[in-house]
Amino acid sequence: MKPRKQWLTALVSVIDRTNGLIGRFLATLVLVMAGIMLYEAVARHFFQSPTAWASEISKMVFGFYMIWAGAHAMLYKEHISMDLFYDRWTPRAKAAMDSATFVCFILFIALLLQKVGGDAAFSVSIRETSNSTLSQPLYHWRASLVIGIVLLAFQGLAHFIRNFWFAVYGEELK
Amino acid sequence: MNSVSDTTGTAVLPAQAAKDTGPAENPSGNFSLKVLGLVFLGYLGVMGYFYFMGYFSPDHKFAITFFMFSSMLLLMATGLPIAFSLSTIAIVTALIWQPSLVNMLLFQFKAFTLESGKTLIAIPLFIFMGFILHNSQIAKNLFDAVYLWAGGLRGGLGMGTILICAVMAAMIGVSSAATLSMGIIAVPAMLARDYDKRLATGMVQAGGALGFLIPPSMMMIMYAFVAQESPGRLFAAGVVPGMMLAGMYILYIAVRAYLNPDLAPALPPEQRATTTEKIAAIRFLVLPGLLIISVLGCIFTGVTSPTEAAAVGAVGAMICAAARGKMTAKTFWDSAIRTLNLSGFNAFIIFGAITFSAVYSGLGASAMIRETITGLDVNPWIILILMQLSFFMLGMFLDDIAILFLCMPIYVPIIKALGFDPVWFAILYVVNMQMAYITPPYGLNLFYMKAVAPKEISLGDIYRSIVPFLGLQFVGLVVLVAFPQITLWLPGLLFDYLQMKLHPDLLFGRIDTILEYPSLVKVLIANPDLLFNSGNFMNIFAKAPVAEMLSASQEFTSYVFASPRFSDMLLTDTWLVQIPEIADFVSRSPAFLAQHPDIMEMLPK
Repeated sequence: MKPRKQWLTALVSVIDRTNGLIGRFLATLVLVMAGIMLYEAVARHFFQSPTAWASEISKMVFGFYMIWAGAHAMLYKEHISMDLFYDRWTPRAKAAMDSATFVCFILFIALLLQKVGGDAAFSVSIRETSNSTLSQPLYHWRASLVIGIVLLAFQGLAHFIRNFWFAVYGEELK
Repeated sequence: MNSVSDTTGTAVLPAQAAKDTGPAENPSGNFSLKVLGLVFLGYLGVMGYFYFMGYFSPDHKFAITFFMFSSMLLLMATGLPIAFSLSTIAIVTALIWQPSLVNMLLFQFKAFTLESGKTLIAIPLFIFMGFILHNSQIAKNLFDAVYLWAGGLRGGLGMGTILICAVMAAMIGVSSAATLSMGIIAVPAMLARDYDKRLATGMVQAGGALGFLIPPSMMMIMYAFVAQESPGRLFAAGVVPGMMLAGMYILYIAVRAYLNPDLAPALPPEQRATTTEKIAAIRFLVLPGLLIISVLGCIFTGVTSPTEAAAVGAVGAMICAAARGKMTAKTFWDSAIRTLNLSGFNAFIIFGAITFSAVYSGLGASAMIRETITGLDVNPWIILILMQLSFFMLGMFLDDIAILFLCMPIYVPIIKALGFDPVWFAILYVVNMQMAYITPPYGLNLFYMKAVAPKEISLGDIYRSIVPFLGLQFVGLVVLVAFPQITLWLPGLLFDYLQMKLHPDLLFGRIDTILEYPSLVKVLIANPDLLFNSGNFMNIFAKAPVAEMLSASQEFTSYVFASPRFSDMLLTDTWLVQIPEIADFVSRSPAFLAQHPDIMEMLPK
């Protein structure tokens, strides 16, 4: 039992750390979005030279940011739930219930990965570009979103391992 | 939870912290598990009944509706995050009724990640702006100013707190920042001055909820996205109702404090500020004032789109913080990480809710609801009131964003079909959600208050403190329902009148508005060239009242008749003269007809 526990602890903490580190990088993207939009507003209003790229690039950064943020929000347990009943249970009952509802989470993530992953693979195979005048490549970006979902899945898995361990053995996985 | 905080070394959001410190070992825990178990058995019973009656077929829209909403609520009761509950039920429903609808996951994902960014990019920017301002402790300076100015009045600190909430609401697009800031600063300060603790906590929660009503507002950005409305117009619509509600709170505090000075005593004379101190305190208002003017000014004058104004606000907030020497690395990282987390939460709840409602529509259930409701022979106002009731009921259990993305795709078409204004409906929704924000069991401002309230304030105090403010919000909602012009007056003035004066070329898209604001015709009279440039001459003249007003102006008619473009147009598009209004207009000028005999011949006899 001991080695298994060490192994699981290591896995969980690697997932936590990875998502934590990625989060640091992602967090700065809010400045990128603000910068692009401000640049566009200034260029259009004061220099009468609206950019062709600002709208599309900012939308892509937005999509990337929002999807990748999911894993980090999960790390911080920031995906808010209704706590009418939940709040009243013992920590162990909470952990047991969370382990049980992990099935729902995995069903969602698995189907999402199947659909979005398949679409991204297709996008990569045809080297998809955007259908605007800019027509810059979109396929890297589509593939990157799949990685965001994978990160979310791993974070969900880390929480599941932690909850399951606590529900079964009554001790925190540290 | 602890291991998470340790690895990253950053504080968790207070809402979460509040939940963790909640009652862990509770005798009601077993009871609530039993209740949930019974509800689940009942649910299984109903589903079994549905199965044997053959309701799991695409024709039974009612069964679909019941299945989706009851399963969603049940799954959420287990503590699964709302976002994943919504998506899971959407998938399960699709798998049962029509497996091809699972592809909605992909469609909505693609639409959300790319297309929605045009509007929704304002979400992370507004959240970031809010946290930066919260972390730069701008609220503390505002409160100091209030303390100096209003401390001598009975209930003065309380009234000032509401004012600060309104000012912060005008700077920030989210409601959490004002509740958190004022919960940390104003509540302890008021308690130290012997304020009634329920009055003090209640006003901060209600005042904080103003954040979504007074522009800029994240919620309105989302509504604009769902309902395809103009965010600027929604922002303008929120101003007057927001000030009205703030005024009602202030009045309430003033009356309570006047009737019972013990509730909210004035500062003792020796603690009151001198006139010089008061005047010096005005400097605290400069930065917030500039920020409000720059963000709202950008939106209302049309210099930037509301989403770009969010970027202006985010950068402005950082400049404000830097000007106050608070733009440290800690401020930045704390704000940026919290923004990331809230954005991730928002992203998946929006995605879950739009998938849910897409599956619901895909199965034809929302069309059924729409047809049933619009086909009902009842007063439209009853439907409107029922919708508000449904918002309130859902608001007790569900997140406001989830409600928005679930209900609006169904409700907005109905509202339009019934002849109500969707902008006005948005404001009613936001006011309703303010009530939801302070109503247990699921009230975000309650969580925030719980997280930051001083020790002597119990959970019971917090719950009881909101009752009078809930009543005030309800009165406000009734007033807004009864008098739509309170809401619609300002957007009409700003967008139908001022912006068209500034950008006359917009006139042609909105001929109807000219009728509402006759003085706009003067814009047209002053720029007759617009008539020709727009290629919309006929449309304008087809509106008899507008044509009448235009042709009544000597200046306008003489310009038009003298312009060679007018005669050219009539000669090229000969059908124009056949239109009675134009024929009428032309025959008023014998001089013009004498000059152009061809046109005279074309005139209908």
